[in-house]
Amino acid sequence: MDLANDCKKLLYLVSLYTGDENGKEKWIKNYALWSLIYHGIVEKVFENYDYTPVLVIWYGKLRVANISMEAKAHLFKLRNLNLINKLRLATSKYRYITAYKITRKGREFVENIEKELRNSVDQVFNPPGIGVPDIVIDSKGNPVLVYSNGEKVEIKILYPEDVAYVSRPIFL
Amino acid sequence: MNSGETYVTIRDELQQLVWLYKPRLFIYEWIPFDLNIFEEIAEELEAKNREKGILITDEVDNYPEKAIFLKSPVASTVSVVEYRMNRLIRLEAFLGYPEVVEQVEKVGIEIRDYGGVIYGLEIENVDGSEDVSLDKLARIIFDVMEDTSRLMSSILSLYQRRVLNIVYPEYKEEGFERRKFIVVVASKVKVLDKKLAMSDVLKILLKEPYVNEIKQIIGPVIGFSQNDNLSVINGSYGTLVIGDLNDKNALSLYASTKSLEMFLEDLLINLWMVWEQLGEARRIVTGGDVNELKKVRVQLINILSDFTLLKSVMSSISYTLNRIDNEYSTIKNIPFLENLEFGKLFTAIKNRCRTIGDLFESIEREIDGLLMIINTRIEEALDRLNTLTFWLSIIFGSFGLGQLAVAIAPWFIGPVESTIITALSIIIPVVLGLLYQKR
Repeated sequence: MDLANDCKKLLYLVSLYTGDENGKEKWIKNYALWSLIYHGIVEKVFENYDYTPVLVIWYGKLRVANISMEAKAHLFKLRNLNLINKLRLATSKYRYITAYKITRKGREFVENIEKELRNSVDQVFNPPGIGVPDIVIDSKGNPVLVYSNGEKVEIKILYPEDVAYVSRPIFL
Repeated sequence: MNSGETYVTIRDELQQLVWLYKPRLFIYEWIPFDLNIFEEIAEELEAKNREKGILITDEVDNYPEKAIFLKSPVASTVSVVEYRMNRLIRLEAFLGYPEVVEQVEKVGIEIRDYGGVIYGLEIENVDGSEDVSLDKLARIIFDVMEDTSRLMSSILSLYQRRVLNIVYPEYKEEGFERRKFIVVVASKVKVLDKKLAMSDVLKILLKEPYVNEIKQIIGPVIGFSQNDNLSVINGSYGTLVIGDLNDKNALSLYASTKSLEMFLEDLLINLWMVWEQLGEARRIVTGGDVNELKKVRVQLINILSDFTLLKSVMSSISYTLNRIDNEYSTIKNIPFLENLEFGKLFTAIKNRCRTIGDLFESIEREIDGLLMIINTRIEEALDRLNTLTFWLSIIFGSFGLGQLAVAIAPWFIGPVESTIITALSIIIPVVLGLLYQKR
């Protein structure tokens, strides 16, 4: 299966957060996954991903979030290859949300992903001796990575960047 | 249930008399939809992107702020097969979990903009046989009805789920159901291992004991028709079609309209139940004490909240009737529909809708009236309580003043004057109280 390096890293990232645990399935919600991807782009884990401000429903409110279209396309591709599944989920407070989980086939594929690609993901999302950080959403809806050594990293996905520009008024 | 695993729980030894060859099963139900809801669901299912199978679950995430969702390993998949803007969405659904067992229970779901939802499946075999007995088919139908109800509730909007919960309380629990109209189509039928010629189908199937098997599927028989290639037996909650069906659109229009009729009947049952509750409320309002009145007021407000939601369904029903009318005008004069007396059915439904509209109005007025009476009675009770409190405070105040006068007056004046002052300190507040009350 010929996948781009970033696509493999994305699959490995999904594998870190999802799977089966004590007879239950562990799914990562789309907000959290978008946040991890954004953080991965900022931390140079993903080489060719970009992000752009997009309007999304974020915990029941319309907000601007930095979402990667390339990553979205890769998620779609991974689903078509049956490497991940997508779940539509009703919530008690908001509208429907979606969640992702690696499949058995995806888990087998991850075993064969090159070590250096996995290491680049591990450096940020699974540091040796520390493990996979929890993703916590604070009261303002901001995602925060909480590492087992107590370190907390706020992910600035909800803060679009400003661009300096000069303009002049015109009329039709 | 997964029929491919020969998983049978029938406790009775079945007397299987009538067998259908590879029956096709279509289950129709009407769910309140309008174009906005329809397009919202299309958006949620990412119908425009032709999403590859998306898993759905009827479990609800009660902690949406958490990043991870833990669930039991059961889910169904839906894939969008076709989407026509403002018209229909076709989905392929796999009931069960795709990674654990080989999927056999596959259902096609067609959602129409006006609320007609059709679940369709062909039974390829049961216990390895392509002929399926009506006894077993009846059980399969109820299995599919239950599974599809759960599946649909994971797709529907919160508004629709609330409406369905009011009309069909606890429908998501096992043993409770939403009513649906059943259409069974089979090319061939066998009775006691003998294949029936088309000319014999009605003669035999409408006789005892075979007709009882038919009733299991479609309810009491209300009509039938036959021509060279087709036999149709129409029941109160289903239709059995044997032969080559050419007028699929006509059958579909009929079944969709019947499913709307069923919803209307159930809505009406709900409205009559509301009337019963209002009758009970009226009895308490005329004789109950304030505490009972307060309880009734809470009940009435809850009823009103459900009722307002149900009333909003009437606009969806009007939209449905318009759409059915449009479709009917394109396929009028088809003998198949005439045999099923579609015109009469449709006119009857339109008339019923008008009556239900009037009933909504009168129930609403009744609830408003009862709430007004309750509020007035509670206000009256409060007024009485205020008066009582007023007089108690006057009496206790004046006695207190009198006691003070008894204690202090003898220091300054004689006993007679003290008595007069004491009496006045009691009488004056009472007189002032009376004057205030008469004001």
